Amino acid sequence: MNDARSRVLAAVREALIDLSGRTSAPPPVTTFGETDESKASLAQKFATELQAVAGSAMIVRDRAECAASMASYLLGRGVRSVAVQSSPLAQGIALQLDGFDVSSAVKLDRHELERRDCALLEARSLLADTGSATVILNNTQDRLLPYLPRTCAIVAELGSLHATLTPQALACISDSAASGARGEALIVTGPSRTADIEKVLVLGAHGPQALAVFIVEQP
Amino acid sequence: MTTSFNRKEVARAFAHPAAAPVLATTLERSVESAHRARAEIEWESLRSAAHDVKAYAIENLDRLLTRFEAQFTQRGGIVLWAPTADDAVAHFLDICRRHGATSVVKGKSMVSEELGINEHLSRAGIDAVETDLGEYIVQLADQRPSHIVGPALHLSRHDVGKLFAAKLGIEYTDDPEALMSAARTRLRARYMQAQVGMTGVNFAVAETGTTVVIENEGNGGLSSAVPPVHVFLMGVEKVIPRLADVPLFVRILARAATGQKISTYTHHFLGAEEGKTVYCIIVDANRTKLLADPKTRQSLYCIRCGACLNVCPIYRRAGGFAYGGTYAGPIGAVITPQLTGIEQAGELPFVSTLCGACQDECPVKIDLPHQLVYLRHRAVEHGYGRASMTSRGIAAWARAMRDLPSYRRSVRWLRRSAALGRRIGWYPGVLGAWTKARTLPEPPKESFKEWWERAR
Repeated sequence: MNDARSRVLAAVREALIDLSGRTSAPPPVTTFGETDESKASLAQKFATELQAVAGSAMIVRDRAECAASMASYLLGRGVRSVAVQSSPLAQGIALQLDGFDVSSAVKLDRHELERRDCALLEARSLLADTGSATVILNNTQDRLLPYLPRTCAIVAELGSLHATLTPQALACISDSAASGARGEALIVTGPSRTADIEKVLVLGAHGPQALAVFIVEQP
Repeated sequence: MTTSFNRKEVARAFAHPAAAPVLATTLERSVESAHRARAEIEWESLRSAAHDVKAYAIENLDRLLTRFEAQFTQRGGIVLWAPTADDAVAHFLDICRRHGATSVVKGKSMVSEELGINEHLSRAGIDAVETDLGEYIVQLADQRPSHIVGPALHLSRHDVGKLFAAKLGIEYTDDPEALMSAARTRLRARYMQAQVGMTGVNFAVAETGTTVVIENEGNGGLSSAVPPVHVFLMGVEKVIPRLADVPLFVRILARAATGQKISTYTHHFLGAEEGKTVYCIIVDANRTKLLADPKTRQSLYCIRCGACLNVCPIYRRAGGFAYGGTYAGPIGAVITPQLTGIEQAGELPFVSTLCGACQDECPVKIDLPHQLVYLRHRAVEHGYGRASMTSRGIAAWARAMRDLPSYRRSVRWLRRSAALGRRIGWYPGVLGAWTKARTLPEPPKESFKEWWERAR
């Protein structure tokens, strides 16, 4: 194995021999800044962008209103069972979901997760310009949540809303990476999709067919 | 492996003229969407910035690869190095054997196509299934992908309907939603039983040892999360310096590839969680040949968006199979001769009009036309085209232009031949391709010089 490593690296170094005076400093990072738009305005923009990719966004006042709004959305989609990510906000909202069979994802195996109608996740940052939500998934069951159930509900605090993928929006990923957390940070934008047959858009390819984001103003 | 331009495929494409406008229209729609999405952002400055980051990464590849290795290992992953394609395949087979794998699920990966992983696994008795819908379709059809981003772009819904009816035993339908549903049901079962999942890598971040995979269907997420073993397969060129560079590439990749503002899923893999074993096979397989030549080094900046294919007039007419290898279109015509050898694929750089549309479209500003011209020179130096009609024609022309009497004799001969040719009406062999649809022009009865001497 070490021999293979040496061979690859030697081949790379040999190939770059003409660049003996190469620069050692990388080019400056291209960053995308926050705008001075209000959070309310960004929330509207987020909703518009998410709708453009067949998702939906609901802006709610507090956790109680979030639970009520989510319950109404889930009933409309015929959802009976919900698997919840191990995160404080998602668990908190789940506690207020009356009339549903609610379980923590970590207590379910993958077959049980597949039989759940809906996944409930918490986004650590939202991107207004694309309607995207960033979720941090640190164990295998949580990692399966964004794909296995047919409906995906995501909750997020209004404060986590950013204009685009700014350094602040990326912080939840870079902090996770720096802390040595395992699993994955996933930026999800709308329901799963494909256009592999004649470029015809089909939703619910391997993941959910419907996705809704609930933005809580006062969590 | 033969990777010369496949004339049979070109002939097939031209024999079905109805298919060409469908392909061209589909690609044109992709280009229009891409241009709309690009118009919303500071596209030109972003592609310059992306070019600079890739240039830095490629020029500092040894340092960045070792940094990535150290960080990835710290996150609980295992890095395996593959100097050759055979080494990469051997690593993959070894992983499967070590974990007792009989079933593998695969996310989209061009390196995997290049290495022929499926065939090797099949020979080893391991059942591998592609999970990206387009890849699944071409695997069922026993074909190769014809486009980097849309592997089954060459097949109509009717073709897919017939294929699924024959291979999956479902009732014929040409409804894309029903076809996707049939594939989804079958692939779900495969995810659940697979012991190993494999994905490609869009970007490997040296600073953090994290890997970024971008996709739309969720198959990459399932292939990586469901099986207990996950294997990343990546070329050496996939490494970028910093996590902070990822937003730049996220912003341009989907816009160039499909016209989306962002793909549905952007995975940042942080490391092996409890109960999971994660490998990363870093593949050279002649990429260092591209790296060693300063004139082709830039082709390693490619982020596999397929934008150059979408605008290429040759690709639009001839399709992906005509290129004979894994990588089609202008980028394929540049990298394939280097990956497989100029002796094998020296013809590919000539499969271009050099119109420059590919360079204009490229989100990382790869200078493809100049590389194509350079590789043409190299191909000729290696003997390409010595026995060709063009070569013989140029030799004949050189003889004719040697001196004035030779020139006059040749012109007289040509004039008489053309006059005779008009009476025959049809020519055999390659000349027939011309006269089949065209009439030879009537040659003048006398040359300009003869006319001048008579008329002055």
